[in-house]
Amino acid sequence: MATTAPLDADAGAAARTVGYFALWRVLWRSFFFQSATNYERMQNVGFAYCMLPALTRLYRGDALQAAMTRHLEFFNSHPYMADALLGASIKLEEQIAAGRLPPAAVQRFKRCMMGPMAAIGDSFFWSSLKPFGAAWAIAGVLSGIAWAPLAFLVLYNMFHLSMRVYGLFAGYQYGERVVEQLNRFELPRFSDRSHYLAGAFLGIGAALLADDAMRSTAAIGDGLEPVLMVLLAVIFLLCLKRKMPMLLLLYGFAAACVGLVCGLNALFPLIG
Amino acid sequence: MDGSILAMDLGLVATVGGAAALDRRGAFQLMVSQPLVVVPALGVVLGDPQTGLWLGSLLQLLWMSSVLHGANVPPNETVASVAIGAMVLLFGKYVGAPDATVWTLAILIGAPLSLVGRWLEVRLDRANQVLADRADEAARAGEPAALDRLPWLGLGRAFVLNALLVVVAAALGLGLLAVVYDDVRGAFAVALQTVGRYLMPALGLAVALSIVRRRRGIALAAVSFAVVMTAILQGRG
Amino acid sequence: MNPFYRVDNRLVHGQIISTWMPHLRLRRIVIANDAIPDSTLQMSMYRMAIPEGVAFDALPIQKAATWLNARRFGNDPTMVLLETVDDAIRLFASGHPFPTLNIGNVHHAPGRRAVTNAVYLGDDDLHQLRKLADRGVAIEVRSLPDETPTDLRAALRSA
Repeated sequence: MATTAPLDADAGAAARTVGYFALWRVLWRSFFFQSATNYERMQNVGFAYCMLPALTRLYRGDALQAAMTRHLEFFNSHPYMADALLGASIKLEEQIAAGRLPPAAVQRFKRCMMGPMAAIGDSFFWSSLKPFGAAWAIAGVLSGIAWAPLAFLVLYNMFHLSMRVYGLFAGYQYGERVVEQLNRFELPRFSDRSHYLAGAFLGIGAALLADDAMRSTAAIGDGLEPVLMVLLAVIFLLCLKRKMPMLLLLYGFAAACVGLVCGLNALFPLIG
Repeated sequence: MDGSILAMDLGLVATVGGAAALDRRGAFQLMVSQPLVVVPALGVVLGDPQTGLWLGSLLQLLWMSSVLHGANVPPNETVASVAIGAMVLLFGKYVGAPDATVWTLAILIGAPLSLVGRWLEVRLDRANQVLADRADEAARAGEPAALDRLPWLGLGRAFVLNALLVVVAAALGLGLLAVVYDDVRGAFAVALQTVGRYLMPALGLAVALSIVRRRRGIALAAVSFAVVMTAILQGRG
Repeated sequence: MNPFYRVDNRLVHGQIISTWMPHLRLRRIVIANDAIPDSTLQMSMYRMAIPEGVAFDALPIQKAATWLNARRFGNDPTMVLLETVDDAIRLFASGHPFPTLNIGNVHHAPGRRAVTNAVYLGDDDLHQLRKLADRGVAIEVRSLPDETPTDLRAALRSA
């Protein structure tokens, strides 16, 4: 029973909508957005998988085949920001199903928006919120706050889950205009500022780590521990800025340290 | 050493490793997979949250710059951290006190796993090509149910292989750790303490600072370090 | 090399903002593309994605060539983004002979083969790039700043 037309086109009734139940199913599925990431088309299977509850409400037969196929195109964006694009795509699909837009409209929209959305998501979530939250939580753990990792999870996911839920429903409400709605939050501005705070918390963490070293069996005495710690950190920072891999530095310096200590001890036996 | 209990613990390690690997890339991405969270969680499961907290913080610092951008796959800090955490915690449970020598050795043994984990992730992405092809077939046939199954195949495979990688690495690493630990004495012990107490924390701090985008952020780090350090030294002296 | 010319099918995205921008200390991003300057939606999206302190321009390719020729970028580290290899060729042919070209991301399409994980090129693309290389353009394939550039020469020779 393959009908080529959208469900209600022949009835000439008001355009069909996907309804809120289907949207909640899309939201749930969006947590598995990257489950079938592949090199050629990246998150395409994930995108189509998330769209299915909506697509099956709008189309049957050949129209469903065409809709599934057009959402299996290359797609690559930030997984949290994808919800806004899913919501807007569902809105566009409703209009396509009603014959008010050509199917290419949703493909063009996705192609245009995946880059900028990834830029905002990567720089806000991956490069700002995560390091900021982690820097805070590390300073917390080192100063004895055992629940700091839990607080990190709560803080991070407040933003993460809000972005998913708001993005999907705002996307569905505003369609392509969801972009302007997201603009209002000025996430990039927060991204910039969080780097100051992350730096400040890392400084606290450094002091607490130096304090740890002072109280450990590896203490040098004379308050030299903080000096050594800062000196090493600066050397490492300069090496990392010259694109040396972390593991190379780890093994290189560890080997040098073992060689130096054992060699010195062989010449001037101080340690048993 | 009770074999059946150790086997159960290794099963827990595998489960935590597989689940964390999924959270990192394929499902949810709640950041449970961050070393800071997953290593203390492993500590709770294996009965030593305190060691997990300290170790998790150090590993988080060391791999702070591991970020997924687009098609680029960074080192997998999650599988490395779970395996390192498991070595230290299992050593503490079955062999002896997990002192600085133990976790220093464990990090040195387990760190390259981040590269093995990345290799596995790349292989999985390649293998997922089959899923994309099957999705095309499902679309051509107009069968949503056939497409619905594909994400679970991807997730299942990623879970099993990452869990295996973590548990095998943790078991082998634990064995190696126990053997090497017996031979650590004298100058070698002092050198390892220095690596664990100075080199590793300093390297972690440098990695974390290297992703702070603003110069003023680095300056703030210097200021807050000076203030807190002064407070600590005065409080002591 | 300033400006830095890059082919990236996603134009401005996470790799640009989080890795290339600090690496090149970018102060300006220029998109040369025929469709984007006309779309207010896309323009506002890109403006939002690019940090405040970084200037952003988008121009149709023909105009971009004239504009880039007339400008001095001495103290203004700039990245010029092109969506496709085709667009890069057109910019070159429009009278703006850039000296270097970075190929960052070109996604898979029928007829294209994998050069790296992120770059897929077809015979036509390779043919076009070869013509650029013959005219002295240094071409590299590299998604992120800290990757080792992949050599295209072998692929170009056979094209």
